[in-house]
Amino acid sequence: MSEYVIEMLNITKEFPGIIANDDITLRLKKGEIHALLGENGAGKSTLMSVLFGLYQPEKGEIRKNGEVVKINNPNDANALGIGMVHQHFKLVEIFTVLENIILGVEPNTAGFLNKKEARKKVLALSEQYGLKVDPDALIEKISVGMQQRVEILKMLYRENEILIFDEPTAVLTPQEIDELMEIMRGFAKEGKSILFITHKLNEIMAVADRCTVLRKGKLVGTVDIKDTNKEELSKMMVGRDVNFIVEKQEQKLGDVVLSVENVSVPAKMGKKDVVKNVSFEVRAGEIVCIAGIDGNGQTEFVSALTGLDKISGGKITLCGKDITKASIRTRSTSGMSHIPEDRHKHGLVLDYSLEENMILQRYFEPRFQKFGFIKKKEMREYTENLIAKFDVRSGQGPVTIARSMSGGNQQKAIIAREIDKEHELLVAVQPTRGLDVGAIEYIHKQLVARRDAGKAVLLVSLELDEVMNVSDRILVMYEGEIVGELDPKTTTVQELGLYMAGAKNNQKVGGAANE
Amino acid sequence: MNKKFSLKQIFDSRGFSAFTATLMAIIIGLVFGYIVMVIASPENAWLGFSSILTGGMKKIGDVFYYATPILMTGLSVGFAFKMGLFNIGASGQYTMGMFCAMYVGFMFDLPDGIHWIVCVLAGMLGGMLWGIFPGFFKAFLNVNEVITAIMFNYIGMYLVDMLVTGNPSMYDSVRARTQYLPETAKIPSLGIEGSNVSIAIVFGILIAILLYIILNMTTFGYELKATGFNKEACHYAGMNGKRNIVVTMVIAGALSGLGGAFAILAPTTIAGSSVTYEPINVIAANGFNGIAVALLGNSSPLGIIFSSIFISYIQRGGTLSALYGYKPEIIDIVIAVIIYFSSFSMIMGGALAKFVNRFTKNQAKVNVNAESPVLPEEGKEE
Repeated sequence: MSEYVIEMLNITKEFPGIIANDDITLRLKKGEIHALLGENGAGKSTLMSVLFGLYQPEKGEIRKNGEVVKINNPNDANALGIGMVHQHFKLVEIFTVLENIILGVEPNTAGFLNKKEARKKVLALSEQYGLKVDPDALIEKISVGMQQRVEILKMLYRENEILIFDEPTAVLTPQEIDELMEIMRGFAKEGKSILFITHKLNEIMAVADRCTVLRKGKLVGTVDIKDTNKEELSKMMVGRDVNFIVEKQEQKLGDVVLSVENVSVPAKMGKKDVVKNVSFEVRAGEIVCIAGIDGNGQTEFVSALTGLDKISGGKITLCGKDITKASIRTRSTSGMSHIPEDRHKHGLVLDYSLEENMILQRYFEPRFQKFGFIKKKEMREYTENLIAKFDVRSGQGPVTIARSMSGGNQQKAIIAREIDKEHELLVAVQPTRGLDVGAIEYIHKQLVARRDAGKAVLLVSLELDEVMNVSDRILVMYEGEIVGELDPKTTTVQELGLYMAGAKNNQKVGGAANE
Repeated sequence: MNKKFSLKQIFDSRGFSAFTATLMAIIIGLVFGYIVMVIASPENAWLGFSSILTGGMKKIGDVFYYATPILMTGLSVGFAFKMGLFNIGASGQYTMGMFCAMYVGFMFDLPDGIHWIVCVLAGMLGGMLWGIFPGFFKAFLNVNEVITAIMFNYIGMYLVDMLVTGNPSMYDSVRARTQYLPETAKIPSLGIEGSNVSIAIVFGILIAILLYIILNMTTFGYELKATGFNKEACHYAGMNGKRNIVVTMVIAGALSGLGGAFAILAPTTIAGSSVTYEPINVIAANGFNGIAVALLGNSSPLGIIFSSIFISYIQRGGTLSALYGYKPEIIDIVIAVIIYFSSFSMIMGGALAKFVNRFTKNQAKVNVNAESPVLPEEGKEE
């Protein structure tokens, strides 16, 4: 009997124009938490898809308990006890939690659903592992953290022994992340083996036993976590030293670029305002960060600021020009660049090529069109220039379809487009979400470079590290209101956390606490 | 090397995979049709089938004649579809275009050589009018264009029948159809002997090329296709989505309207097929055929030129298979199967492209293997 439950030996998987996995070997011990670390596009998800039967490798073999197995589809994987929580959950939105958990393995009596038995089993599992769920809630009505618990319960319900977590923490709040870590440790103690895909080093250090690092489709190595540290891991992953501290020049504050006065934004449904009476200013040469726990009105506020949605009251001024009622196009041409929160929904036309996406905000400028005809040559040259300048990697250069690019490079493309466009104010919403250390470092550098170039930057972020490292001034948003204005140099993460949780407020007493 | 690279690019391109997919759908559809014919009447099956395949050749002029209206409605549906709009209202727009063309033809007395042009333009305006409504409702009231368009199909059809029967200078109540249009209102013939094809087919093809240019080279086409792919991203980029919806539907309506005008104004010897209209409360079939044409042509204007001609071609062949005792409906079955399979187009096209790629890759490997031993300098060995 082998000491490993799963061995993936010399796996090679090619896609047109790219070798996603090049001769990769990964061995998973029973009862361990094994992290799989790598930048975006390093081949982590591909490797796991091979294990889960979604892709067939060109070369290499998979062994379970020392025996060679063939995994042709996810059903085979399930039969072998392999379960996976995907980065983007695979749940039926209009079904209940219970229905989703039993989907595909419905217990039945002569063709009739036997929900009673299923409910008993689900509740027992939920109890045993501390995975709190309401079996009768609809998926579309529950939080993302809860949805993830449903995905985990799905694996447990199928009695899987090998659990794959594909970037499970990307969508969670700090508290939920801690809970998840605890749950994972519990699984490992029970003898379940866990493969944990991530690029967050803190989490690996906290929870994993061993770590396999991939870079650009190749295996860098497998290390014991107790023999290594964060710096070493990030060096293995990126291939160079990563600077965690964001270097900034001396601040040179300029004129007020953006001024927001008493802005309120109505909810999508219902009459209540989700953003209430928000006022602040952003000056040239500073990075102002709106911090807060997800769902406290940041998304709605940015939608209103950038013109995607209407406001119910207040005034927005950009470079001295009232843009409260201006169209999105007018805001854009008046100097507002916007790196959107959802790069697939808003940032890119995924079925367009990279070059067509690069001119998305500028195709109407005389530079890119003449008599309504797009200047294809100019578009191509412009894109090639941006690709070189911002190091956007893609399979076929300017003609690559955006959908086929990795998440990090899609984000780089958006950032290139928004930064290269004429702007005075850069609105960046969670610009590093789902990205790896190398890309995060890069994006932070770009934001700081904007600031140093005398532009105003408004950053909306959920990541505390990012908030503390990058910003010059922090505004904390809680339930649609600005409850605190903090200076990152003089404040601590703990204090910031208290404001974010609504336990503290330095605005109601006339901001005196901050003076 | 250069040549091979470009070959690979062609195989990888979406246009190529769409083309191969359509080709496969056509072959499957024909095979299916043949099987049905064998079941229906085995002894005549081959003769009947070969008349479907080659029958169009004998009536090439008629192929183009019948292709013209479905080319226009196909372009109409395909163009709207590029923006993500389903213009099921092509029938209504077609009917309105036909009526307006006819009205100008009967009621206005214009000199020869100008009259038919005015008729065609009137038809275009009629179609545009019927395109505005679904577009407007969609853009400003967020009413699904499919619902509005279906309602306007009926409104248009009944309105036209009402206006026609109520107008004594157009309607001949004895024969229960309109009079024949005056000679001046007819579109000039293309002059193919023994057929009815007019120069309208030339206009149709030119319009298709124009649409291709609009879609692929202009900022309007850029916005339009982007909206079809991702409406939210277009909103984010500040495009005027509402205006684009209305403009797209107006253009789609104009195309269908032209189809109606081309159909009614064609100089023909086939009794009852044009020049006169019979108000019998039926929605124009050419509008729905346009949907099939657009699907088969993958909504690309250039593809639609070929798909309309193809569908018209096998329809002509199908009518000839009646000589062997088959019902012409057999062709409807064949077309239905083709459309059905072309909906799988991307899967099948992808499969074929993969096969071709593997083949060329293997070839390349063989070449590399053949060349590499030559590379080391052989003289040094000794």
